[in-house]
Amino acid sequence: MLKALNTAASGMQAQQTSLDTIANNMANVSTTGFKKSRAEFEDLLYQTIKEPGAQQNKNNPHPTGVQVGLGVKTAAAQKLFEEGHVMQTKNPLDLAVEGKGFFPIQMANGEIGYTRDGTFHKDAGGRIVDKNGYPLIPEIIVPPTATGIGVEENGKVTIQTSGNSVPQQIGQIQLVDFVNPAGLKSMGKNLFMPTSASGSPLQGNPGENNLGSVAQGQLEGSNVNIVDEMVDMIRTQRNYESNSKVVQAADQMLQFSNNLR
Amino acid sequence: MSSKGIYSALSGALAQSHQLDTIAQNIANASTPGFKTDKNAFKEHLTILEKAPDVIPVPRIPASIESFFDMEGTDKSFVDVDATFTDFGQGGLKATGNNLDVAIEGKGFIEVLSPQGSRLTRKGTFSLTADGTLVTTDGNPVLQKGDGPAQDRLIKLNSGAPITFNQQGDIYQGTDQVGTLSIVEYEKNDHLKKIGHSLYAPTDTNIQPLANPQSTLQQGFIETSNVNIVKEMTDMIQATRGFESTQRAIKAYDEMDAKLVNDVPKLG
Repeated sequence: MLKALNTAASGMQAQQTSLDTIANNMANVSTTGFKKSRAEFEDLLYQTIKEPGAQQNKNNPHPTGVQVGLGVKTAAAQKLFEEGHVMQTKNPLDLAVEGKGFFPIQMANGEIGYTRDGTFHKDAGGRIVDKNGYPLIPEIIVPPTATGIGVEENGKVTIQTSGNSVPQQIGQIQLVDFVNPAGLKSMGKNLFMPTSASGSPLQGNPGENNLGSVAQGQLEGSNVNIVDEMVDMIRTQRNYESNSKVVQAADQMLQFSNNLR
Repeated sequence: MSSKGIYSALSGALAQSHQLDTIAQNIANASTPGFKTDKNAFKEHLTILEKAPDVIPVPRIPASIESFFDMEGTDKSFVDVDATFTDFGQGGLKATGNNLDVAIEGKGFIEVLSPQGSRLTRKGTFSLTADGTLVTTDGNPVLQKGDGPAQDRLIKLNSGAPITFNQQGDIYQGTDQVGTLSIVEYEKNDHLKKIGHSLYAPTDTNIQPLANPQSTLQQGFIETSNVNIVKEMTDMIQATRGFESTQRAIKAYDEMDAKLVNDVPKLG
């Protein structure tokens, strides 16, 4: 039976995965702190029909063998942690990380998730929470008397109160980095979870130990580049088409054979 | 049956279907980084001499037409897939901006440690493990230059300062050099065998790599496959049509045999 049919099918499947990844990237083009993914492919095993160096006759070994590849597979969907562009929002609780690092967030089940999305709010108790209501860790509570909130580059959170000209420090934002951020697992809701591939979290104050600094009144946009995605989408679609042509060709060949009698 | 030629036609059909398998592989991997096109070489298999060896091409008396055109079996030769070889031509470079993507410009390969030992690859899409080891997307550690055993040549990076590769393969973290990628370059790549997972294994360990590799590294790029879709499509048309022709030939032989079996006896 023709191997070409399965090979082309593996090619079509790979292009589907690629399109799924592109679709997710494009859908999240305006998601704050979104990091794009990229499907990566590698060739499958090869079937060796004739070993290179096999004896052809008494004196002459074959200089090259005969190998047929059996297709392609998705090796990884790699997340790319390039920085997105920064947007000015002027909202005092919009924070962007300039450089490496994630904000630690305590999720509903008590576990710590990590995010680049710095759209924070105050909850009813004045606690700084993300847009899902999960608190920033370590917890920072803004007293109701505060008239203004300031976040310094090094993560120091200060408030102004009426009748007091000197800002008071109420907390310290910490950032977390990983040896291999690409190994983090996406949890949805802009959150990432550490895995055995990402390494353990390395916590520190912004600006120290190669961690990025915090910028107040700004948000990090997604790092998806629509032009790149469009080009990739065209390529993906055309590659899919090429593979489907191979299926057609294989089908035609089988048809010729079937028409032999 | 007397028509042995049907087997020649059959060998042609088998060769063309093998050709389609190879084309399918190339097209399926058109978007695999660092993939190199496979090609087939066909050869003719002579059938055994049908004439006695004492029949020499010099005409004796009386000269017959066969003495002048001594085919020595080439008129009924089979075709056989003699070899697959890989076109190691440079693929295009695609900018990704990711600082763990490197593309090789030139003939070289990057040495990685697979579970079977040291292997070569052109796919420079790296990532880090939890302990900071530089690995390929399959998790095979990337090796640095050196004479020691492969297990001692892993590349360790730490979180923090940005990683840069220069064109010679030196790896810097910030301003500190943390190692040099092992770039292996051969005069000729004929002895490299594809083993899947974008890896190559040398089949002849006696062939020594060049002392001074000329290849350069480009950080932030990946090398696309060197599959030429237009070429593959035309080859595919050729393969299907070639296959169709051999089927016609088989059918023609079949019809001849049918005549022989059904019609010839009626004449008597």
